[in-house]
Amino acid sequence: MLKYLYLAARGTGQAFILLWDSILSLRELRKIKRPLIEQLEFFGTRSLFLVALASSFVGMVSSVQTAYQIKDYAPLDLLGMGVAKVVMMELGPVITALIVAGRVGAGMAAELGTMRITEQIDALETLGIDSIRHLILPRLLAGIIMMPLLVVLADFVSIMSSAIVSALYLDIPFSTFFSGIRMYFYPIDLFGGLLKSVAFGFLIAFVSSSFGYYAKEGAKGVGIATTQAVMYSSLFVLMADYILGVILYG
Amino acid sequence: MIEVINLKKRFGEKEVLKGVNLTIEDGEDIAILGKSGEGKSVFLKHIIGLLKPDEGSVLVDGIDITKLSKRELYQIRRSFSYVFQGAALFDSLTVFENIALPLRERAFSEREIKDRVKEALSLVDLDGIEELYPAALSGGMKKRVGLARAIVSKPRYLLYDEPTTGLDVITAWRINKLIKKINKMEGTTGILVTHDIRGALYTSDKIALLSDGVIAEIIESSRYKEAKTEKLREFLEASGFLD
Repeated sequence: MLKYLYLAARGTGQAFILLWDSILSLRELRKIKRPLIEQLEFFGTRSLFLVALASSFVGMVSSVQTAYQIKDYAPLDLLGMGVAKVVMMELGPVITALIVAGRVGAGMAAELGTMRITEQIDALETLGIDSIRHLILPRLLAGIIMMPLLVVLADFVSIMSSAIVSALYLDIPFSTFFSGIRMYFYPIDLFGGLLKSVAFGFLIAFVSSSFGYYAKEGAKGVGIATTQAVMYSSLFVLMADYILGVILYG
Repeated sequence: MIEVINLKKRFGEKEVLKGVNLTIEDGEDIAILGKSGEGKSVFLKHIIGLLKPDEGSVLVDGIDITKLSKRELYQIRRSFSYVFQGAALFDSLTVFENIALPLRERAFSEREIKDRVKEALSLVDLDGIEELYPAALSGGMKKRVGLARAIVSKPRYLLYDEPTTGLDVITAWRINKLIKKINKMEGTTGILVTHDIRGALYTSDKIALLSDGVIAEIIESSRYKEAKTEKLREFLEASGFLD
């Protein structure tokens, strides 16, 4: 038990040192142009298809389930409003974050872990290059920048797929669906979700980078780091979702 | 000049370095010999500040690098290059980008980077492979690219961590010849960690034996037959250099 507490405390300490050093290395932002572009592409561009595909199903199932729940109590004209709110405030950011935690988080931890065990991180340091500035900072920035953009895409695809399913199977015309959204739209619904996505993007990049950067004990260590990166990224996303939910909408 | 004073390092229960003392003059080339697991690589990593000692100092030109901040250490490291046992090339970068990386960090012009990379690759007899990725290279080629990356910034101190381990005899000998050529470049101080005694005697002015966590003996390479300690004599005998 004591051993696990010690390991948890050490891991937390290491992660915060990593974060602090990343913040300090913001002074040399101009030196990370190239790795930042690579990470923006890895985090964002290569996640587009998966996020869009998953979001389309989220939108479709939201229509069906919302209709099922409200049909006895409220007119189906309000379906668009209900789906849009739940997508913008909750499902868009959270589902996107969980997908990205699986795809990007695992990739980051595996890449950094492999660099650690093959001494590539040491090689950077011996060349006089700050490995945290070169490897961690671009990942953190990519997470913070790309996650809200992915969530905008996810929101759009979810709402559109929901509108299509509503029109085809629930006989709700597009005009009715979208007028419901317009009538009850509050900017906080959208911007609250986007604010959450910034936090999620940061958390995924930070947690995954941290596990990868401090990986050890060969291939087995990289495997452990990758698993833990996905597991803890997802967990922290859900915890942050609750905390931000209370602050924003509570 | 590098001075290592009473360097101690422990990993858990195991005390790897028990008080290493060593002085390396400018322009000198020294090989640190020792059995596997004696802490040779650990010692080398202390010299460039990759590891912090539990006790002791490493003075580089009179500055104790064990007490420097991270930023100050990066400045000192600009005088160093380190050749890794497994080459430690960056998988995601081409050979050109691998070698150019330290120069980009120091804001060299693109023209100068191109010229220097070409020159470094030529020195290790690997012209024309700039666009290949490390995955496409053999073990020997990777080590030579690692050497090219180490010399491209024209460092004062070159540290080699088992550069011939895992190579066939011919390739290992080629690497040794390259190391000798690089060590003879003006103003370069070389520290080679190895258990390849033939390579050590060929490339270095002096050999030192690291044994039981301390430097057991230092001797000029040309006078290896006069080795005094039993441990170094045993090492030389085992390699066929003493009867």
